[in-house]
Amino acid sequence: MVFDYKYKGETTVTNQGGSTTMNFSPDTYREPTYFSGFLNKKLPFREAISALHDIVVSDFRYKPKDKSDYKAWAKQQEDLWLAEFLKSGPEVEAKLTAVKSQLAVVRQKRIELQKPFWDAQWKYLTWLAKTDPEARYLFDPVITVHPDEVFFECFSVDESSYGKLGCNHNVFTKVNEFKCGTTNVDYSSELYDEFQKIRGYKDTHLHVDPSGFEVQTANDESFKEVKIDVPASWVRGFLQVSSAMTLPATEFTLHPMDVYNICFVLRRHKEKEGPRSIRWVLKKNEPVTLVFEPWNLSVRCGRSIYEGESKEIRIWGRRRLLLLERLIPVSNSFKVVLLGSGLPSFYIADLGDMNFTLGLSGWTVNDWSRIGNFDLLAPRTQVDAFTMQKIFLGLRENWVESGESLAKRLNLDRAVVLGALSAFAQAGKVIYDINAKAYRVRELSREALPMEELRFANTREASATLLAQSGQVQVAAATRDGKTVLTGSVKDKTKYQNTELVIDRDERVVSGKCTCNFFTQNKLMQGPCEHMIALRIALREKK
Amino acid sequence: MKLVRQVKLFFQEGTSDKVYEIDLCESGDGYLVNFRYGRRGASLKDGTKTVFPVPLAEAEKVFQALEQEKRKKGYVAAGEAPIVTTGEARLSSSASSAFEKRKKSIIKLLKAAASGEEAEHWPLPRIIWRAGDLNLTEAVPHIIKVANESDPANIHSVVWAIGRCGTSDAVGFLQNLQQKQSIAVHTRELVTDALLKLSSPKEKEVMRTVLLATLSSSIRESIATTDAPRLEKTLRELLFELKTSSNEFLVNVYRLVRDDQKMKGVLLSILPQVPLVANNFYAVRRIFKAAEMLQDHDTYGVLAKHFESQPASYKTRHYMRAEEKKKLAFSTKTKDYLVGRIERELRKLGDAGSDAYTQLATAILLSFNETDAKEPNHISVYKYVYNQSTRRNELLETKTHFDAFWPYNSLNYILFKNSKRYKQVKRGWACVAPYLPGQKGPMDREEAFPSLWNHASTDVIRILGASRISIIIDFALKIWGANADFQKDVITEDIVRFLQSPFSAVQRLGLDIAMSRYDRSNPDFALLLALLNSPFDEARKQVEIWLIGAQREVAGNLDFMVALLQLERPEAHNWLRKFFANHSFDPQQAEILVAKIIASIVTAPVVTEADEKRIGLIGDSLTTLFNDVLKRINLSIIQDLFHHSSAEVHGLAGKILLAHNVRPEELPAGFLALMMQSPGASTRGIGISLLGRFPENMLLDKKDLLVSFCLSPLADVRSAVRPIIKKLATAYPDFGKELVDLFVPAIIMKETYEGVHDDIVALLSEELGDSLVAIPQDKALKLVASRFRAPQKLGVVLVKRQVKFSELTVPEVVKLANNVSEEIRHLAWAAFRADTAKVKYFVIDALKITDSEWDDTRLFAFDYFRENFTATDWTPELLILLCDSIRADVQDFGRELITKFFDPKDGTEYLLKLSQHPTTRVQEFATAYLVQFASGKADVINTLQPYFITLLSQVNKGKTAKKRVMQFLKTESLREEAIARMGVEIFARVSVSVAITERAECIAALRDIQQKYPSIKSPLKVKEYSDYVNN
Repeated sequence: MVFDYKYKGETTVTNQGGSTTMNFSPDTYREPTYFSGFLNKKLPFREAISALHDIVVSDFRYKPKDKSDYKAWAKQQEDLWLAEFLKSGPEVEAKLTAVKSQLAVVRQKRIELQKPFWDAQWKYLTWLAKTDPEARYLFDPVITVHPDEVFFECFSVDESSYGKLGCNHNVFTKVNEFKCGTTNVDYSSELYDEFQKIRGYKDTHLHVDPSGFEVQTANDESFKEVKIDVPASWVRGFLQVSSAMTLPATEFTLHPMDVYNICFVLRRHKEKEGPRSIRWVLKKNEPVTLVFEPWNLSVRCGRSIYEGESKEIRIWGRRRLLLLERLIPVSNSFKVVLLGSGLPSFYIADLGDMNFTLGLSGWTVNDWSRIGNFDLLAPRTQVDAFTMQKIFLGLRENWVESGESLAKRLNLDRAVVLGALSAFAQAGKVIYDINAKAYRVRELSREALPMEELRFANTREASATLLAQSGQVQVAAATRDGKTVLTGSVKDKTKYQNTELVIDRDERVVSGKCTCNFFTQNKLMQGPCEHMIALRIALREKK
Repeated sequence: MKLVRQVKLFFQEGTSDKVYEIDLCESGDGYLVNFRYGRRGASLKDGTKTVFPVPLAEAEKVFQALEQEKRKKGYVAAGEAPIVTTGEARLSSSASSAFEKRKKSIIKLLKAAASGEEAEHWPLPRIIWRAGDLNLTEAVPHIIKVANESDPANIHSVVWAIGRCGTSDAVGFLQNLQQKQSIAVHTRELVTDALLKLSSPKEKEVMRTVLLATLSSSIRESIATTDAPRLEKTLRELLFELKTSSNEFLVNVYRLVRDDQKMKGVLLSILPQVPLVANNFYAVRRIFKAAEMLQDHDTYGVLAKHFESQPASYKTRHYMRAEEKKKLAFSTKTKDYLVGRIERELRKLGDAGSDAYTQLATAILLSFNETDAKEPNHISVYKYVYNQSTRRNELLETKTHFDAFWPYNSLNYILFKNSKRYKQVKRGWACVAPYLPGQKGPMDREEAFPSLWNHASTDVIRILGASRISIIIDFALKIWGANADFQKDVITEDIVRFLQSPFSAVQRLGLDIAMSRYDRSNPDFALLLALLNSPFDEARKQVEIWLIGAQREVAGNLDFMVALLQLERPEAHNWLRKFFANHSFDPQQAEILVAKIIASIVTAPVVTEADEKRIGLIGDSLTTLFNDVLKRINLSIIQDLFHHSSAEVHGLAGKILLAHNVRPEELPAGFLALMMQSPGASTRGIGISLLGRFPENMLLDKKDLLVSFCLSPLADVRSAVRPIIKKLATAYPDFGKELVDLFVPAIIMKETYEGVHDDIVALLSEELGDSLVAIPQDKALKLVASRFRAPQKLGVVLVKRQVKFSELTVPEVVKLANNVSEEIRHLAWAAFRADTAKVKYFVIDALKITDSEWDDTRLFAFDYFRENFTATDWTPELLILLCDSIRADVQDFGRELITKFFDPKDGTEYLLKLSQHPTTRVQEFATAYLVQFASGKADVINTLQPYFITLLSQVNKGKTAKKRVMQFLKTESLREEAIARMGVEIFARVSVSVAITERAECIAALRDIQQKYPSIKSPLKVKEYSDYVNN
């Protein structure tokens, strides 16, 4: 999916001895949006925006270690070992030692000779990676200006973490005229470096450049056109997480030091085997307890009493919670919103006049082993296009409003309004602000997103949903060696396919079998077949 | 029956190896004469000469007669020397008489069949076919009589026989047949082929028109106009690019071109590349059959090789359905059949002693080339053999070796049928031990039908001249060696071919013949040319000996001179230049000569690489030998050369132009443009160097042309024009400035061709260096800061040349100190060193140099500030500014300076400001000032609250800092109640931690505070346990 941006100039941060000016350069293709004000809460803002940066650049996917150097060395060494092993007499041994010492000298010499070269090469490559104008991979954050709040949103490189920093207008002083709307801003890693220089004793001016739309000539050289090819899976992940916010969920509040404790456990321990999950043990009117698997370390949040119905929820990809580390000292409390096991979760830090939302998708890696586990982009209520339009324009009048009050104002049924709003959330046009419990207008992209393409990762997933919905699936679950085994038959057109699917304790598909042609040809090489996915969907529905 | 006497006779010739055994047996009271015959080793057929026993005397007589008859035919008993039958003797006596006999009996049988008596032992269609086989023209009337349309085999044989040896008398019969739809398609196709051969020219023309009409327009036109290159292009396009699905048009193309050697050559060059798949094979097979019937040896040979070299595309399986097989072609079965058929054809012709054998064999041999050679290889068969002595099974490996041309049956048949070193096996032709691939072959002859080759001088000469395969040449040389009289059949063209052969033996042969033929008084110029153009150096030496001192005569022969100058080999041209080195040509003759050669170049298209090379050689020879003529040559001739499509010809024209007397500025308009459009780099270079010879004032008018050369996509043009630009810019500074104004924007825009930017930057900085002053200083600074290479490089040049660092502001210098270019960084450092006062005045800006991305600049900055700044220069503000950097080394530098120049009066400021730093290192550094500057100051401690929380919230790090803070807070809380309130808040918050040390310390602190100030609310509830007594 290609997104086109056009920035006038670049985002700049100018540090004078006693003041800092941040000039964000907005996308001039978008409707002009501008804002200008001086920072009031400087240090919390610095920490929060740094946390947001951490999310933008975070990549928690597993990267296997590169062992090729070791292997090359081992291969070279093998002869020596072999010779040592086979050495028969003192004569040979003496010869061997002589050769070895000679070899060591030669190698040392080689290393010494080559070292400047390698050092220089490494330095050059690092420099190149930093300065190469072509090497951009970050998806620029989105800034939205609303009457009550200015918020920044971003999504991580690994397509699994969402961040939102909302600042109400108390964060700023001397706010000039502003215009509501959403725009992308030019973003770079130098910017992060400059953020670090924000101090309480320096004036800091935040400036979303209002001159962005006052441009006449198209050939102005200060324009920077950027085309970013964002993977469709990235956009789908973003939409899934933001649409998850509109779902009913389990909520409770944590003390900042509880988050400290979570980070502490994660920093102190390194998991080598699954399940890599956190189990939230929620009992009514009892402190929230977390259990870290597989060690079963439990952390009791003594000052956070849970008040809802008792339940247990497991979440994965817990290392991503380390993104909250920088917020611990500046936050008053953390609100945790859990949708369910293996579903997205949200952590909202209360920073006083600011709020910071970290949204996590169900897993760090959204590969095929999780396909069909949930479908957050499924349409929930059908609303006709005219009403949809009306509701959207209605919301745009105030920019932010709760579903109830919007329904009242527009004289529409509440269910219809909520259905339409959640559909907009799925399409990236609206977000649900968990903190304010209200919907906000935020158009993710300039053009409408192709929802048909985005809903499913592939055609098999689409047809699996169809099969499961039309009731063609019979499924039975059993446990074998601690793994869940789903067996069942799926009626595809006229044929019945016998399908089996094994899911491990991390809710990953580890193996499967099917009688269909796709499986016969590809096994699991290209992911599960539609019947396996259908089996999983059917099990989810059953539950 | 008792054997009384027996004689075993053998016959070996060519491929035949036969046995004839005669027995005289006693049977009852009489004697019998029986015989057995057949191929040696095969099961023999037997018969008897005496149906009933006869008396001994009579039996003896019959026995003797039979033995005699066989011996006459060439049979000998074992151990006896074979009767060497020379071909002539054999043909004249036994073979030719046998042939006559055979002919007679065939005609007799046909006559009988016509009258209704069919031979019982020989089916009629086979007899008819045999008549065709043996080219029995006189049998044709009888054949027509026995034709039977209802029998497909019969009618096919009839048509085939007529096609082979019929005359125009049979045309009527064939035309009649053509109308009949009842006969099979493949027979009707043969009828067409036969008719095309036998019809009168007028009828043939009509048929050709009909056939032409079936072809696509492009092929039709090219055949009608006998345009061979176009035909080749069209056919290749159709067959290999468009891959037409039905290629039966090839049959008609073959019919239409087979009488024209050149056009047929086109088809024959394409046929070996036509893949043998379903849509082609039908047509190819039809052509093969027609070629066989018409004895078109060239086509037959090409296809024979094609069939043998192509792997079969599939193997027929019993379960394959008919429609499935229809989509396929050329199965293993088909291939085996065709290969067998080719061998049989060869054998039949050879057996018949026909000249056609050597013609066909020659055609087949010549269709092979060096690329058909395979890697010699072997097949191993392993067998366990029980060894009595060791009582073990031993592995026995039997290797069968295969030489380079092992898969080609016909080639091996022709060359090695009688060889002792090769034998035919199922896979192909294998080596017979002890011979191994790569060893030298025997001296005696190994080919099939040697006697036929002894009479085939033309074919042997053709092979020697044309073949490029050493085994074939060896074979031909052996025949040549055995037949001294072949030499008389060699004509000059053959000698030319011999001399061009890559084999030295053949070259030598050519030279020897040429020497024997050469007549000094009346030299054969074609021969001389061939000798000069040979790869064989001796040949040229020989010519030198012959022509020594004859320069004048040679130069006088215009046609010969033209031919000489157009020779292909560089050696020949070298010889030519040396030969005429001291000769002065008659100017008039030279002029004609040059004109002739140029005319021939202009008219001839340059297609192959060899042509290009030749043009180059001609050019060099012309310029060496005829410089005087070229100086005065008409410019329009040169222009004509430039209009030629080939770059080589342009190069030649360029050479002539350089040698020419004309002044460059007098060249007609458009001449230079013509040169610059040439695809040849050397021509363009010549064009530009000619331009460089223009007077300067004229060049100024051609500014646009020069600029376009500077921006040309061709690197050679760009580099060639640079000296001209330099010359002009030095003479006319305004011109240089104009160019600078043009080129500077050009490098900022996207590069149009690779390398243009680099060349322009080089041009600007070197040739136009003096004109760069036109660029203002701020522009130079902008350029040097560019992220792109070309403007950056130019910027470096500009900054070095004309920026005065003393006039720059401090931020500008700082920016330059962070430049990619090391030179610029060094200049910036020098500017810092030069004006320390200025640096001190703008110190806040100057300090930013420490934020440079370049390690060397930072190191410089640290040294610089250490050396030049004293305690009075440093203020807390500046030092904190240093610490605020995001770089660890700069922070360290800042901390070092703070420690060095610390003034206690600034302590609180340091503490308050450094505590806001986001880095744990600096935060920890600040804890050192806590006790000294915050102790007892409630306001300071209050402002530091976020700092304390931050420090205590560091996950799994900052142990020391945490300890310090907790100790400090506890002490201060116990000191003052107001602080204690804040302390309780912080301790209460941190006490949630699961880290035991932290938690314990918090609880202890809370307990102590609570004890001192019970009024302050805290989450701590103290329980007293009597068991735990303080001890």
